Amino acid sequence: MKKWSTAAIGMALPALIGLGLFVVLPFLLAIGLSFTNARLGSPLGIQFVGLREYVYVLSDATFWRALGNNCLFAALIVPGQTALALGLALLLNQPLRGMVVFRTLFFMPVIFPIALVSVVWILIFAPGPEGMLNGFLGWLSGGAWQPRDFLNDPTWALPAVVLTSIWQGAGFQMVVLLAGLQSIDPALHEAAAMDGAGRFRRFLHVTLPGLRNPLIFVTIVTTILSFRIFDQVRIMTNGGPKGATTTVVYEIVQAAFDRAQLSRGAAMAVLFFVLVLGLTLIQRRVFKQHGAVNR
Amino acid sequence: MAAIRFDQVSKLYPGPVRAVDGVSIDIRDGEFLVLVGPSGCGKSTLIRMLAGLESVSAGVISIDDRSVNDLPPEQRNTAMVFQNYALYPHMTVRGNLAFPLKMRKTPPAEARAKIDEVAELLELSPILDRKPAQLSGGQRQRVAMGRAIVRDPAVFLMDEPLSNLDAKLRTQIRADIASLQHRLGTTTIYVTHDQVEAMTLGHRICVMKQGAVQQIGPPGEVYERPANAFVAGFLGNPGMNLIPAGAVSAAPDRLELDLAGQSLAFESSAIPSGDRIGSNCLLGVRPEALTPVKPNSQEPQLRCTIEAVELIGHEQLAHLSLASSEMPSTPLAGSYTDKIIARIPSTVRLERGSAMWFGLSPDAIYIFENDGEKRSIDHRATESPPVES
Repeated sequence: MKKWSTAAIGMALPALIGLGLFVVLPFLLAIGLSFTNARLGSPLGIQFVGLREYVYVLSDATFWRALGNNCLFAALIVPGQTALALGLALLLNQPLRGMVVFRTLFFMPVIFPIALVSVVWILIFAPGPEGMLNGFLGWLSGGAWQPRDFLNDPTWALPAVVLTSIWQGAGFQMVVLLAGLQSIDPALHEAAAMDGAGRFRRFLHVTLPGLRNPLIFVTIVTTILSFRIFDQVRIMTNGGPKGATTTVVYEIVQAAFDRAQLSRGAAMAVLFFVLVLGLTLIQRRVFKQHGAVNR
Repeated sequence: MAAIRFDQVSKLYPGPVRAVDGVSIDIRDGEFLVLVGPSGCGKSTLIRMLAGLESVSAGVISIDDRSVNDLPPEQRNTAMVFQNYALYPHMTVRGNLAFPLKMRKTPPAEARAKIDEVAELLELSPILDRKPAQLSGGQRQRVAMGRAIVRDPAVFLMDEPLSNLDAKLRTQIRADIASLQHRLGTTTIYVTHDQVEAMTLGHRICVMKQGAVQQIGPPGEVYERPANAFVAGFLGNPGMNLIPAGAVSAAPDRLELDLAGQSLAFESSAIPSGDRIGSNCLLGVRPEALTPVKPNSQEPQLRCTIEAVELIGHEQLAHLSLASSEMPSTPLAGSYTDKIIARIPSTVRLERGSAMWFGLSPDAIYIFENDGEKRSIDHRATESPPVES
């Protein structure tokens, strides 16, 4: 291995300090705190309590509910968002005029802060016949649609948050997949066409294999993001109704800052980190095993 | 097996650019036709239109008397070898060969036999389980050929298939392609900008320039009897010397030319009466037709100054100028200059800056009209044209 020059270390140092100060150190602190009884703003001294918080968290139904919701979010968002992004990317890859305009429009939700997006969708999901979505569905069904309060309905709240998340996130994946599409040699499509493949089989045998790496990237990133889901939940539903939309990160924030149970929040954060890390490692292992692409 | 006809085919791009301009070619069943021309002459566009990869702006392309203008590529039964081979990167060599068969729903047993047969033919058997990224340039080229052959298409299209290979491999695969085509007897259209490939491969070659056909014929005929100055200058390596000349007089059977102050007189029965030549013309002479001679006033001779010498093994290329040391060369109109290249055996000693005399046989010269558009004296008109193979 090459010796690290002073210049190289000097250049890497600012980033390393930042990483250490804002990522590694807080995480180490969280691990440390999770073994104590620390409470936010408590005048009492901090005591080492061993695995007490972990035992509590793992036997807490709310935590499991939140984790279940997280899995549900991921199961809906990852395929939904990837499929939507792929569809948009395929549309935008057509050699037509004005594609820059559409590309900008489709990417715009990514630039909007999630707080703004959430507020907009609260308006869309507004209850009663004046609500945008209710009104639209009413018009579409010729009045047969019964207006409902999406965000306060245990059945509808989670799908509503999922829809908001997909709408906000798809643009990013679309750009990644579009770049992937444009890096596929057009001669491959031509060769496949001459070999007798119609439109669908060209998609199946040229486009999809060509998008393999971007698709893996998009899937892993979306999985992590959908597990981290918090802002939408906080703003749109506050985890409700009756815990229908709560997530682990939402529970962590609730515990640490709303209930001042710093050590409990820390324990949940550590558990959650291990879980997501494990999931990502499994995904990478699975994707790597299936065919090494040499290009 | 198929006969192909291009009938007044044009391709227009917005601009408007005429990439292909009213091309008509008839290609016989089993023929090997080479489309040759400089880049941008429309040769690739022409075969891409035949393949269905480009739309036809005007005219009709037909395979076996059936118009294919409106057929999608997958229904035309043509196979193409692409310049960059376009092998499917995620499939093995076997997968690449199997793909066209799978798309045509060939029964698996039959497909396997066909793949093995083609792999045998192209010596691909040892690499059937490799992926394209693990292959050398020559191997990829052979896989691309195999993928085209494996489904017995009606027409082979080859778009500069050798341009990504090194010179030695190119010569070898060139010969392989010729013998393969001969063996399979499939109608083949081969696109190249390389005149050596054109001369060596095709039954006929079609020289194109700016979207239009300049000349079609067997390689020998196109070389010996170029239709215009462009064809003359394009074929041969180096191409024909084209020297602007003034026609001093052109009586029947006699032509007197003025080349940068030198007077040359030819007598030949093929030379027509004077009214066919303008006052200016282009004298064409192949580099190998310039033979060094001793100064002699009896025969037509050119006095040249040696400007540079390139030794290429058994022969050398002498770069000459007509100017004498007293009379510097003057720039001439158009793209033609008085720079001349002669191909001389290496045994002749050449000295840079010295003067040299070259003999010109009336049989070895070509006279083109001043704009290069037309050959105005056909001194071989009396000979029987070469028989088409």
